Amino acid sequence: MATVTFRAASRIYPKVPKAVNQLDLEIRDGELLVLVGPSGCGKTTTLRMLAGLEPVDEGDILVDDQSVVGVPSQRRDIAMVFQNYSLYPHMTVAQNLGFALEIAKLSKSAIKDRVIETARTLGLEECLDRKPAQLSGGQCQRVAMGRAIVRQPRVFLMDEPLSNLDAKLRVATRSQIAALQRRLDVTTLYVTHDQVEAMTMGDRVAVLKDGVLQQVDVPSVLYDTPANAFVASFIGSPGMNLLDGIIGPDGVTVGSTTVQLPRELRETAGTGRVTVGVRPEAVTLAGDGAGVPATVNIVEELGPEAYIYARLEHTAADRSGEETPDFVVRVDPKSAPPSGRRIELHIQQESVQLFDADTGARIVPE
Amino acid sequence: MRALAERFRRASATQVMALSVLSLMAVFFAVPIVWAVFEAIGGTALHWLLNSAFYSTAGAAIAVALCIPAGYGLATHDFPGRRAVLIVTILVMLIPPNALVLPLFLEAHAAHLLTSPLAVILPYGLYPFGVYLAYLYFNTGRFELLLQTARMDGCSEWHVFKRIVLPLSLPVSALIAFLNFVASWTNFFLPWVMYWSFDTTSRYPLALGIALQLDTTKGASFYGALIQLHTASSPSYIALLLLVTCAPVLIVFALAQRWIGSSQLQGVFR
Repeated sequence: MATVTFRAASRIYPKVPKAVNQLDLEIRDGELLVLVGPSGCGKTTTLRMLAGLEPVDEGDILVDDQSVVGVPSQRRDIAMVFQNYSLYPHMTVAQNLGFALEIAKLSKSAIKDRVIETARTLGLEECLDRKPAQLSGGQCQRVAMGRAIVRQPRVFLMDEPLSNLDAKLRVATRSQIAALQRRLDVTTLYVTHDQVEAMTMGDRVAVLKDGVLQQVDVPSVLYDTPANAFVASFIGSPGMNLLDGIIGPDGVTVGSTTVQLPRELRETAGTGRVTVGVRPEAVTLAGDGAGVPATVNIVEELGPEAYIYARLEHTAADRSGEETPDFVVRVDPKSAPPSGRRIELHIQQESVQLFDADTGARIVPE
Repeated sequence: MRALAERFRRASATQVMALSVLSLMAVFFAVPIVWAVFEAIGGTALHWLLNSAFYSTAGAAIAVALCIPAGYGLATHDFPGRRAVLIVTILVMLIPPNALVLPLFLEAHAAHLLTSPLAVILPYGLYPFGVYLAYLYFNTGRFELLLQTARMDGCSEWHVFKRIVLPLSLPVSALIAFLNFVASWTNFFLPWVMYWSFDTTSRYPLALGIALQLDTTKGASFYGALIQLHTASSPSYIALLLLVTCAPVLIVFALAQRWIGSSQLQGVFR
């Protein structure tokens, strides 16, 4: 049981931008906090700083209000599950599980009890005598988990533990890990690049980009009120559609169409260029000539829902001549139009979000 | 050893019986051959053979004992002068061994080790190529990851070395031991120089012993001896000695190759 606090913690490599830049983050006691971001955003570095495998160049990291900077990994009482599991290849599963306890000089019978209990929790009783080379990927993953939980540490660190599993097993294991963490009630920092994993597992989710913390909150808040355009596009699958727009007296003009805005939002936004954010589910297909004209590029059918990837006509990006990403719309698969069809989109004005065109920060209606 | 015992315990009665019969037959056929060979080469040659075995085994053992920690330290720890040590290791590795014989002779002389077995064991025990091999073996990302895992598990540096590094260094140890053994077993020049005094023939390794059969006036005209081949010992005797010289290398290879090719790191990654 522990709290973890990052206080303006930075990791600086020579000659490149800071890998982790002035990170302020608190992980509450017993909480599962997911650190998510695109590859190279510094999330694994953050984890390794807490593990003691990377130095903290500036700032501080506290576990239970005590600084761990300069304390070697072996004395931090923190367990880590590595992305590649990193099982000891010359030891059996039982020896792998019991190794940390053996090093901690527990009695043989105590080690045996705890190893068997952990193996039972994770369904590994059958393979206790096997070597890692004889295990399946899913079993290796569970041994790696078991090696962490058998120690009953203050903090768990998990570095993309599911990334080497196949899609089906990943989904199943995802919920198992979350359930296990809740049962054990151990403070956990979980790193992933997969925002679905982050949203489904995390008590709270911290979004990191280029070493800078963008937002940390419960999943629903991240989804409904992203702090900036990056979080808006990163969270959600598919992410939020972002379009260039200009604020006018009636609303926001995107290309040749004007979308009405709630009064408070329009007043706060003032005038000038903004980034308009629209979730795929906040758009409906209209047929009355009043919607935004678009052409269907691709339709993705997922069974219960379908996503249309459409090209908007006369969008602001046409000016610069750059290719804009397709505008994504979620529709009922029964009513999905075929590729190439011209459609009209009706954007629900109450779910439109505006972001500053330069800083990307969300414009919050007053 | 424990693994071997374990395998024995698990073997079925049929397997044990088959193994016993096969061993008995092997002994039955091998004993007369071995007896004939050693009866023919006689006591002195046997003595040289044992000398060779001792020198090469001791040299290889020292080499492994030094190369593994040295290579491990160079590969995984950063200390002042690490680069310099690595570069010197590679440079020394590139020098032909025969070019080092004279400096080694002078060194052994200064240390009063000439004509002592240490003079032929130590130059092989200090094995830069082995250090480099061990360095390459340990200098991989997956090894680094295992060490970090062990440290997270609470291991001190010594525990990491003893519990993780040593057990996993078996393949590279076997390779170093084998290469070192063969090199010192087949070497002629170094012991020939170190055992320069004529009263040391009892300490000769087999390679020098064979030469002695060719030339009984050592040092005077070694190449001339090749011409007098027939006058010293019978060619068939020398041929037998050469055969006996080759055999241990084959045996050591047969023993080592099991480990050389084995992938100890299998299962670290998925």
